[in-house]
Amino acid sequence: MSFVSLRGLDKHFGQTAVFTGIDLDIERGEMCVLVGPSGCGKTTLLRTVAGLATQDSGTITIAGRDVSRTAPQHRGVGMVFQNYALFPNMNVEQNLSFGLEHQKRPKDEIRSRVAAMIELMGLGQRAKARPTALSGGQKQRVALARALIMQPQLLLLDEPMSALDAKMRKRLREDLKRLQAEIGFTAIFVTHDQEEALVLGDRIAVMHEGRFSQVGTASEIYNRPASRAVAEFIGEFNVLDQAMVRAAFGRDTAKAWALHPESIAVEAAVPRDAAVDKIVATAVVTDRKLLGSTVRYQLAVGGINLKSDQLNKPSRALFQPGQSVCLVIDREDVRDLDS
Amino acid sequence: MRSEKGIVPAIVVWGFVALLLLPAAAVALNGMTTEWDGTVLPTGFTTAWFHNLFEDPRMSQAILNSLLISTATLVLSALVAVPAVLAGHFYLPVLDRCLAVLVILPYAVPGIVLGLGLLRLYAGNFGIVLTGTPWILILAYVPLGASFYYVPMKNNLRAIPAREIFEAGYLVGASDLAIIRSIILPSIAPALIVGFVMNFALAISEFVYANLLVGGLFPTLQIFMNVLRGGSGHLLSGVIAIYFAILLIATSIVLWATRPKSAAEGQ
Repeated sequence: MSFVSLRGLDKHFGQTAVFTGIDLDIERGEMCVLVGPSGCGKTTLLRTVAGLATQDSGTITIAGRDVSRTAPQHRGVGMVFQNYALFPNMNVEQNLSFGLEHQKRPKDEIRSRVAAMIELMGLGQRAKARPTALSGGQKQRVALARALIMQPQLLLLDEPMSALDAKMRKRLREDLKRLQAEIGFTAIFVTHDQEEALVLGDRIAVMHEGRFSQVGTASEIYNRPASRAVAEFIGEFNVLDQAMVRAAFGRDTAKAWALHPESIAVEAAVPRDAAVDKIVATAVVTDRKLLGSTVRYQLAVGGINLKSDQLNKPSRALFQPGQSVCLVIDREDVRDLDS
Repeated sequence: MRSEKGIVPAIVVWGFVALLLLPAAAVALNGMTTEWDGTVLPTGFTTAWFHNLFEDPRMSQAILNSLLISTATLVLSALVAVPAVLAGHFYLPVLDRCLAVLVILPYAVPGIVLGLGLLRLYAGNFGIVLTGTPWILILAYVPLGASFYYVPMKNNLRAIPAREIFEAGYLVGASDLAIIRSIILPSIAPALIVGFVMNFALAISEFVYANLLVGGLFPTLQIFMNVLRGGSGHLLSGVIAIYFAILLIATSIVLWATRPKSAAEGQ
C-alpha cells in the first residue's frame, strides 16, 4: 500500500463540484506536484488532505492510518501556506519553537531542534528577526522550517513560491530538492507553474476542473500528454484539431495532434534527405523572438499559427519575419490526443 | 522623497505640535501666575494655587474618583469588547456586521437620551438600583468606549492573515485560546493600546454623563472643575493642568506596559 493514499475524494460547494473522483498514491519520500490552472480545485484538495477542509466522501490514508475524519493536528501533516502565515509577533526562533512548546517537549530538545533547523535552512543570521524584517525568500524558508521541525509524515506546500521573483524561485526550488534529499520527506506541492511542477515533481498530477487529467512522471507528462487539457497546460504545445491538421499539413487524422515547439524544425528549404515518415510543410515566419539559448518563431502555415523553438546557434542565420520557410516534423514527435 | 532633513517639514511638524500644546501650556501657566489680565505675559508667578488645590480634600477625592472610574471603564470595556470583536471577526461574521453598526450607536444617539435611558434602566424599574453610584457611570462609559477597540482592532486584524495563522497554529497542535493569547492579541497590540488610552481618556474627561448620572454624589475631576467654574480662573487652570498631567502619566504607563519586549527583535 502507498504511503499516502487518496481514494474517491469528492467535494462540493453547494451544487458546484470542487473536485470529484480523486484517486492518488504517493510513495514514501516522494514529492507529488499538483499542477493546474487557478480555480481547478488543487488548493482545496490540499486543504482537505490537511484536514482544514472536509471532503464529502472518500478516504485519506497516511502511513497506513485512515485520517479521513481526524483533526488537522492529529494527521501528522505540516503545511507551508501561500502567504507563509508566519506568526507576526514572534521572531524566527519563536516561530519554530511554538509547535514544540505546545507538544510540551523538554526545553533542551526544543533548543537543539530549533538550532539545528535554523542551521539547516541557513537562517542563522536572522534567528532573532521578526517576519516583517525578513525578505520573501527568508519568510518562505522560515515557513518551511516551521513545518519541518514538527517532523510531519506528510508535508503540504500551497504555492509557496508564487510571491517570489524568478531568481529566488529558482534558488528555492534547488534548496527544496536538496532538503528533500537530505531529510527524505514526503510532500504534496501545489502550483500553477508548469516549469516548477516539472522541476520539482517526482510525480505530477495535472488537475483540470476538479479532476486529474493525468498523473505521471515529469517525462511522461511532458512527452506524452494524455489529453488536450494537459497538452495545452504543460509545455506550450501546438494543439491542432483534425480540421487544423488538414489545413496545415493536408492530412486526415482520427485524432487531434499535439506538437512541441521544439519538435518543429525550421529549414530554408526541404532537406534532400527528408525521409518518408517526415511531415513537411511550407510556412511563413510571422514573428521572431530571441529567448537566449533558443529562438521562438511564430509561423503561419495554411492559415494556422504554430510556434517553433530552435537552438540559437551563432553559426546559423536567423530567419526573418515574412520569409518563406520549410517545416519538418518527425511523425514520432506528434502526440495524438483523445479529446 | 528626499532623504535629507528639510526645514519646511520641521516647521510644519513642530508648528502642529505647538498648536496642540499651546492651550495646555497657557492653562498650566495661568495656574502658576498671580495675575495675567490684559498683558501678553503674566505679571507674577506663584505656586499658591497648586498648594491650595493639593490641600483641598475635594481635589484628591475627585482625582481618586476619576481614576477609579477610568480604570474600571478601561478594564471592563476591554473584558467586554475585545472578546466580542475577536469572536465576531473569527467565528460569527454575521454578528460582526451588527457590531459594526452597534459601536456607532452611542454616538448617534444624543447624550441626554442615552443618559435618561440609563437612569430609567438603573433606577429600580428592573430591580437594579445604581443611580448615584460609580457603577452607573462605568456602565455608561463601557458601550461608549467599545468603539475605541472595535475600529483599530478590526483594522489590525484585517492586516494579518488571521485565518492562515489559526490554521498554522492548529497544525502544530495549538488550541484556539492558545493562538489568540500567544499570537493574535500580541499581533494587534497597537490597536489594544489605542483602545486602552482612548477609553481611559474618555472616562476621565467626560462631563455630560457624569453630571447627569452621579453629579455631586460621586464627584469626578470634571464635576469638580464645574464646581470651580464660578471661582478663581487660576485655581481652575491648576485643576486642568493636573488633569493633563494625569492623562500624560496614565498614557505613558499604558505605553510602557505594552511596549515590545525587545526592540532588537524587530531588526
